[in-house]
Amino acid sequence: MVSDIPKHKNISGLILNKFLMKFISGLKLFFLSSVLFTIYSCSPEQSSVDKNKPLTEKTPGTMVIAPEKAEMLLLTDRPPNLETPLKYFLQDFTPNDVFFVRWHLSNLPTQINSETFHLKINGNVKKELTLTLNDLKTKFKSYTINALCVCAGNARSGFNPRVPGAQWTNGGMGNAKWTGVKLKDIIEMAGAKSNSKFVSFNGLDMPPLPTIPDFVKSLELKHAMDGEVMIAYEMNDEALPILNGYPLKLVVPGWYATYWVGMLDEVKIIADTFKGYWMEKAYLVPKGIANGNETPDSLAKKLVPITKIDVRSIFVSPEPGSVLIKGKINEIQGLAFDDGMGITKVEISADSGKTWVATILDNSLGNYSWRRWRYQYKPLTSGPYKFFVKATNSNGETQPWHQWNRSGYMKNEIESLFLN
Amino acid sequence: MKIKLIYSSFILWIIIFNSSCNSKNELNNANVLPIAPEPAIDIANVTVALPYFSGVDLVETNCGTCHSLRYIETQPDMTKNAWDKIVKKMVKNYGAPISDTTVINQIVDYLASLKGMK
Repeated sequence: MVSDIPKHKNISGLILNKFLMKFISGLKLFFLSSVLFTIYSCSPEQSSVDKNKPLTEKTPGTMVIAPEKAEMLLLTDRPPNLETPLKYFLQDFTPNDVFFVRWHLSNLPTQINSETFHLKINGNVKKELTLTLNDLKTKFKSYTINALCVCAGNARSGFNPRVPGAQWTNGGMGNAKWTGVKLKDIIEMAGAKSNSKFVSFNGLDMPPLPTIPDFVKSLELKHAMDGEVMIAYEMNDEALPILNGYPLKLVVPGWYATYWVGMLDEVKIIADTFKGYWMEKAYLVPKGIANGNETPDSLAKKLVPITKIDVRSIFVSPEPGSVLIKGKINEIQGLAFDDGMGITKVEISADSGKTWVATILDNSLGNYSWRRWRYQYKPLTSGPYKFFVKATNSNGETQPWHQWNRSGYMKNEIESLFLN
Repeated sequence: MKIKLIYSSFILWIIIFNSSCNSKNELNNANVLPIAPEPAIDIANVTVALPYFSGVDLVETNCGTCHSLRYIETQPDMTKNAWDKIVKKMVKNYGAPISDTTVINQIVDYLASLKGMK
């Protein structure tokens, strides 16, 4: 059985049909002009909204449809990097067909045969394993966890000053129910030799040139054996979309998505420290600082691989620039998350941070999941209004007013929302 | 024929106008879908037309070998020094096969002109 990917989809090799494109751009022009006119004439009050550009603003990005995906925001097409539109964050679990997509290497398989696919467990082990998907589903106890997957560079476009890289707004994350096998159970079956220290993870994505380092990530063996790190064959009770790493994805609860290797086909146990470009040169943050903060004038001297998700909260609804009804209750809602310590408090401020009011938290979906917050606001005066939101976790960690680093990782400064 | 065309585009405008005005009014109910700015296209048909001036062909052939030119299109404005670092990183870390420093400089010049910052 081959995964049901439409055959005509070719993600890596793009076909440019100039005539078609001209026709489409003509259509676009018509639509754009009429939509722009409509937006302008329907909501003149939007012009008074913010010049500070809140991150959650409505971005007129290009929408694309990719294999097994509904309409998503295009960051790049080769390799595919797609962002979840903010409206889907009204749902506790992000649907698979709009779950964000992030690949580094453009030589990406467009089809994977589930019958011939194998996961290899090798390296410093007593017995090398070659497991089929069926082996994983029948020879091991299944394990399920709700966990948030957040791109290290999520919200990068909001850094000030701006930094290069994929310009994510807030849609480089998603919450899902992951089902698969604990990595611990698999490694125990292979038997890591006693001197083993690290485990590396490689997927089927390949560099377009042999000089480009293959995307391989690593974890310390004791982390890999913690009983929470797992290999998922399902997200939200279905097989993973190919663009989310079908058939297998490493799930590292509480850690940034860079470790969640997709199309995973090799787990290697290593006696020594792992060496590799994507651990030594990329995805590095200032050492010993909770949210990887530094300043352009004073860059950190020591950098270390990024690890855990820092505390953050965002606004989801209403959209920026929306009109609140004076004298009536209006709900403002959003999401908060951290590395799994657990969000204990989300506060909102309507007076630039002078006073903070606690919001109501929805029931927890698990510490590694995001947590929804809601605030019932009854405006007694006319707008515009500007809100700020701030989360705190059980460790007492919270969010700063300003945060920055050269690579645009771990963004967690306090967000604002403008309403009318 | 012409009148028909004008008439039908007028109707289309009314439809678009009303549908987006309605959704605007519904914003008060909070859970509202954003207005799609333009129809979605297939990811396989995404094209990027970089502005045509000196160096564009070098950028298209050298950078476009491994990644979409949309990476360039979507980057913020940066200093020439920052672009120089990025291009040299592509050569040094990722082995982009550009050995001629004149070509490297022309690529940097193009990028700094397109997305430049003092």
